[in-house]
Amino acid sequence: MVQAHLKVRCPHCRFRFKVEQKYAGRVARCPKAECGGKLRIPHPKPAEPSTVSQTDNPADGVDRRLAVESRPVTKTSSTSTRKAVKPPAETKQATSSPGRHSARRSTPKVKHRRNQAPKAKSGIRLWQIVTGTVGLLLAIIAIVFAPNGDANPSNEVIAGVKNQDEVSAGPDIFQEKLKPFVTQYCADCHNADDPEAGIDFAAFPTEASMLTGHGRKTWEKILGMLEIGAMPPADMEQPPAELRNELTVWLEDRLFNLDCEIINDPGRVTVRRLNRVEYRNTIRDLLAVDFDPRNDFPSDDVGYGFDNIGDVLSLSPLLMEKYLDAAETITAEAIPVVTARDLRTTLETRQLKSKPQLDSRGGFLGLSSRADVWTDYRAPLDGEYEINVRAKAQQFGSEPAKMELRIDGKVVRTFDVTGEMRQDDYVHKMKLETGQRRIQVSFINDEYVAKKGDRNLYVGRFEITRPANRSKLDQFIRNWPEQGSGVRESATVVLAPFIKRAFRGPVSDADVSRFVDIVEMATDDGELFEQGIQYAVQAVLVSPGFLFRVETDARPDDPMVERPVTDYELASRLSYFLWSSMPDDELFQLAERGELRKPDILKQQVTRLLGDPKSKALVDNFAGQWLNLAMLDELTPDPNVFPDFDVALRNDMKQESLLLFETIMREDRSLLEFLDADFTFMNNRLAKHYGQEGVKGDQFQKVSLDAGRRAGILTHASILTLTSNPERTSPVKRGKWIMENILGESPPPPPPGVPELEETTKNNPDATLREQLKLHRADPGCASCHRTMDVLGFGFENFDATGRWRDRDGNHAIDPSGELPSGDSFAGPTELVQLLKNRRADFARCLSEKMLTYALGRGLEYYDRCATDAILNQLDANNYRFSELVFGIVASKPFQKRRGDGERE
Amino acid sequence: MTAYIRRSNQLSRRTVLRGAGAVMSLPLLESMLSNNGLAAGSSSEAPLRTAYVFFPNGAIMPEWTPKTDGENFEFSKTLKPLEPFRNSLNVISGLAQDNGRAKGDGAGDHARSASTFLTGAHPVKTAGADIKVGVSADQFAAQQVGKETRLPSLEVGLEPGRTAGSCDSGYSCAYSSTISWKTEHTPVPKEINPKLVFERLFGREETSPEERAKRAKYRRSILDVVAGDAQRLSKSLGKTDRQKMDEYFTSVREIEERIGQAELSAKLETPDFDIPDGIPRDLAEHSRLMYDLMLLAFRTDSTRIATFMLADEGSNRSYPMVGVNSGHHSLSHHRDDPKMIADLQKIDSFHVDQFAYFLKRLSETKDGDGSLLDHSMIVLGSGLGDGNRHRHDELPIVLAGGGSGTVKNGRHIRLKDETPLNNLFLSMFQRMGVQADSFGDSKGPLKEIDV
Repeated sequence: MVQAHLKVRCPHCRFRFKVEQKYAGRVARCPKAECGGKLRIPHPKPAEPSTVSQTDNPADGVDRRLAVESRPVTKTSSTSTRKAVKPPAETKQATSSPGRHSARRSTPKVKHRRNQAPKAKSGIRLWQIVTGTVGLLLAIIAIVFAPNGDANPSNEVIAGVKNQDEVSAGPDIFQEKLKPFVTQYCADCHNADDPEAGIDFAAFPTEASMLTGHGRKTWEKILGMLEIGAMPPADMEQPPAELRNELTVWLEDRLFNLDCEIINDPGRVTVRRLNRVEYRNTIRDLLAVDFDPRNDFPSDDVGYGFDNIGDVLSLSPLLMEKYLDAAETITAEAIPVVTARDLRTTLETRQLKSKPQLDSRGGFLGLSSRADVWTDYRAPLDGEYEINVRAKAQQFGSEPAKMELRIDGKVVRTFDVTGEMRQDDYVHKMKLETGQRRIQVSFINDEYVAKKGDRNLYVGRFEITRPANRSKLDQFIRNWPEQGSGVRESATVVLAPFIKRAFRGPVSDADVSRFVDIVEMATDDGELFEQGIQYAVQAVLVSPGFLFRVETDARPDDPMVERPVTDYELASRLSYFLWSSMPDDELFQLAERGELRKPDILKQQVTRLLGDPKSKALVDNFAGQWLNLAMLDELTPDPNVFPDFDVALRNDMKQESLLLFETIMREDRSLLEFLDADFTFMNNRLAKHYGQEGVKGDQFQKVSLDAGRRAGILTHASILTLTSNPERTSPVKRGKWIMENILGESPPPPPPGVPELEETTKNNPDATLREQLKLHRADPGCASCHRTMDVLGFGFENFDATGRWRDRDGNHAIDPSGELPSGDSFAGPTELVQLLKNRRADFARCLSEKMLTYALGRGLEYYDRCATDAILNQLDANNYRFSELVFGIVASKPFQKRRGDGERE
Repeated sequence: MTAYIRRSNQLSRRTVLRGAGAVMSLPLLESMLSNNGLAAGSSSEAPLRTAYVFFPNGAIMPEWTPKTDGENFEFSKTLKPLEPFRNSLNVISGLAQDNGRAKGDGAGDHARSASTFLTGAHPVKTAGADIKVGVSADQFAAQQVGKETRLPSLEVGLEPGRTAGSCDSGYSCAYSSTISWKTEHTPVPKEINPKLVFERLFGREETSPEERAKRAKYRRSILDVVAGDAQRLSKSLGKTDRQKMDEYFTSVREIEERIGQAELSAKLETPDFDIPDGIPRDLAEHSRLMYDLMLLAFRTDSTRIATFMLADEGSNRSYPMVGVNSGHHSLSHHRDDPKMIADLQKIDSFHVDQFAYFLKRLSETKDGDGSLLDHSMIVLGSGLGDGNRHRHDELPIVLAGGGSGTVKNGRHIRLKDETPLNNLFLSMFQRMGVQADSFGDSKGPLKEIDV
């Protein structure tokens, strides 16, 4: 049979790719986005199509040398693997680690070429049995053929997926075995007329149709059902175990054994609106204003367990209105616009003090003999003040009435109050220091001659004008327009750098100019320049460039076009991942210089960001959501059973778990310590709850754990409470939580029509929960998952529904022992924790997948398995140190690159 | 122009807020309404208001459904508090939201309950990418008749929406934390803080008309600039991103329209209402306050369409004020345990009690030639019937209000099983002047409520 694919190496960038043989001789572009160089696809040597050859194409006028390799693509016959795998039920029992058999991963397993296979896991996994097979899938390589005057000059050709099976000589399992299997055992219920569970097997006529994006997801589900024996249903005809097994192995292989060099898909992140936390932090770092939107903005929707997922972060009119209001509030604080009126304090006569006590009449206090009038004024800042006292006098004698102005008892000015009862404002300007100042006027030259005349002073209101605090304003506006001109120029100088920071990347003059228009409009209206700037900044804060983290593409709808993210985009990806905020100056400068991408600099920056206090955001947001700590807020343990539970204790519980995460992060400890740390953090309240002695005060302190009872996160009151019902523990919930959040396995929801466990309660009210749940597992449809889930949960039964230690549950003694399907048994919680720790690879994968999801802001796809595998290798080689997880994510392809929208074929 | 209320000296703010059995005194409402030419044609007619009040986890149907059909039916235990309004409501049995069923999507009935309740569309099962269900009845109506009021619609609730974990078996939390969908992709978040609901209705306090006018002017310029930005940006964005930018653009446009509306009603004054501080700790008070605000919104004709989620679907809230300390959702899977059923019934009663308060307030509020209740159509219901078994048929539904004389009330209407709930919405559209031949999975209007 003819070899249908050629391996080609690009002569420009040495990128290797595969292409269908029919394109031999055509001129194409290198599929690597950064390269894109022209090359001619060479013809294979006719005599030896399956050996490596070198071809010169001196005549093509495009390229000089092109390395061509043809690889014999053979498949190990699946019969050789068949023997290695037992029917599903037996396989499960024969395996050695808890829980791992029953659930389907969200992302598939990947085969690595060239000895890059991930380190062996603690248990034998089905998929590892078949890793001996090679070259299963070919292609997904975009070859853009350049016009070269041949038959199809103007059309660009894209080479699509090519499945090796169609050209290899091996048996066609899909057509020969799977289709007949499906027809016989599945299609009665899953056909075009009645597609139960939405599955119509007629939709998958070929193997290729099974491996497209949608088909792949459907078949992953189908495989899951086959593996746990849930399908065909027990009351239907069952396939022979051997056949079922052969096909599950074959499907595993087809679906999950990916060739990362070929798959090589960075995926695409939907534009992300800043969530509430990111908004708050970004405003803090952009404008030094602390604005807390939690009470104002509607809560952000959650997808894939996190609230920073672009696809679900929507923007309603309600939120847009909140953004407008918030922009007003924030700019009023960041760019305070102060008018003279705002600075003035007026004290009417009734607000003034006098000695002797004087009465006010007609807005004046009459001083008929020596008297003082004063106010104690709090000067808010150092600077020049204007003191304005309204006064008039009744004149008599040789000199006008004299009014002395004293500050803190010291005479600073003496006014002649002239004119006969003519009201005037007497103004004195002087520097005052911050603080309480007594501002006082006195009548100092009273004269009275009976029947001749009388000199009297009348004192009216005080008006004190404080200096404007322009420090904040001057900080923001460093360029002021000249009187009456230069508004545009100054506004541009002020706004251009601000907008660049706010948009987290370069902006064009036109971009800036639209915001400058707003300033100009305001000043034309007679508003102050700073008022105009305030409006413009409001506009920036509600513009899409600020509210969304936008990454634009030249060909945004072409999924085959990929590119590395720009340095600025990388800076934002980093800072929002680790700080939930915008990049700081150092990141911006590195981006500007194009240096951020350099591996050593990037690593150095990651270390710096992690070391910064702002990385607390990763603790609160990532760890808080990974561990589902917010679910505690929704739960109120039954006050009749747990009278001591209150809001403060709930928050302490959360705090304990976050502190463990933070310690592991800050001290760069092993991730595995989450599972078995022999220390934790408590304050007096939490210690009292745990029954721990010797912890005093509200502050959390490090505490060593009682070795026999507690270890790691799974014994934290937070987790134990949030996986309980209000009135009692729920071993099923606890087990499920561990499977989902520690082992990365999502048990499928229970099939419909399952008899409910509590029905047994009625029949046998004295049975322990454990006895009741045994019945639960008698049903084979439930057993496959519950066998693990329940055992895991019962291992923690020594902890009540708020995480306190107990030896009895009502009348029943607690039995915390158990045996996992793998055969591993344990006597209690700490032994179980050790068994879980043995599954470090599963835990690390679970955590890596969750953190990658959080870092990218999108759900993971099958091709991301390549990235997580690389991260896992790195972790395994570096003692599972926390920083390696972050380094690995930052270096991963999906973090570093992006591509056009749509699904690759 | 838009209606407004002046400060009334006849009753203290506190009385209005607390309800406290006080009879509402609304001296200006009538004159205001006579100027209001917006209501269906004639200037003397009061406009028709609609509200959709949703509760999660279904109901204990044997205690909900009246034993007898037709007129003079006997109120069931749960619905007893509604008896004073017998002549202003119908209890409707036999309605279903068929699209809430799995249809091959497996578990997730709670997410499907909330998301189908007002849409009658089948939600796409996704934890994030491409959330999609259908436009909801309130938003559909608001898009046609909402322009006549300052706010096209009002969406309120009592629970904040989940911020951790997944909400229901692989469905994005958006599906269970809102019942309003502006487009098939865009859920409308609800407001749970009474203070913010008030501000949304009447703006913040202490702004003078001049300041408000100035703000409107600059907001408009700001929105012009940023709308242009969004359009320019869209050119270099992919399909999914463009959808996000469309959302942004639509929101901007809606606010611009609202500013226009506000300028028309320059005389808008803050009504006599004790401005709430925030979210009351007590659930009953929180709920009453939200009903008060809905009433206020209707009374002042700030909007004519509202939705109210009494709790998120699948909510596991406990109701200690009626002696229920276990979580609602946990209880809803009662497996015929009499104690759990009794607890659930108490929760149902609690919600019906609060609803009765709302009806009372509506009936006491004079509006045109009758009461607000006469000029309303208020749906109370859940997207699940029997919560224990996640049934999407035999839904608990009450339709209250006279529909401005278009609804024949006073009956327990027993429909053919599997009658789409959307038939009811279609009938309501007709009465509101909303054009629609069909809506979601509707099969035709619900003639049974016609006079």
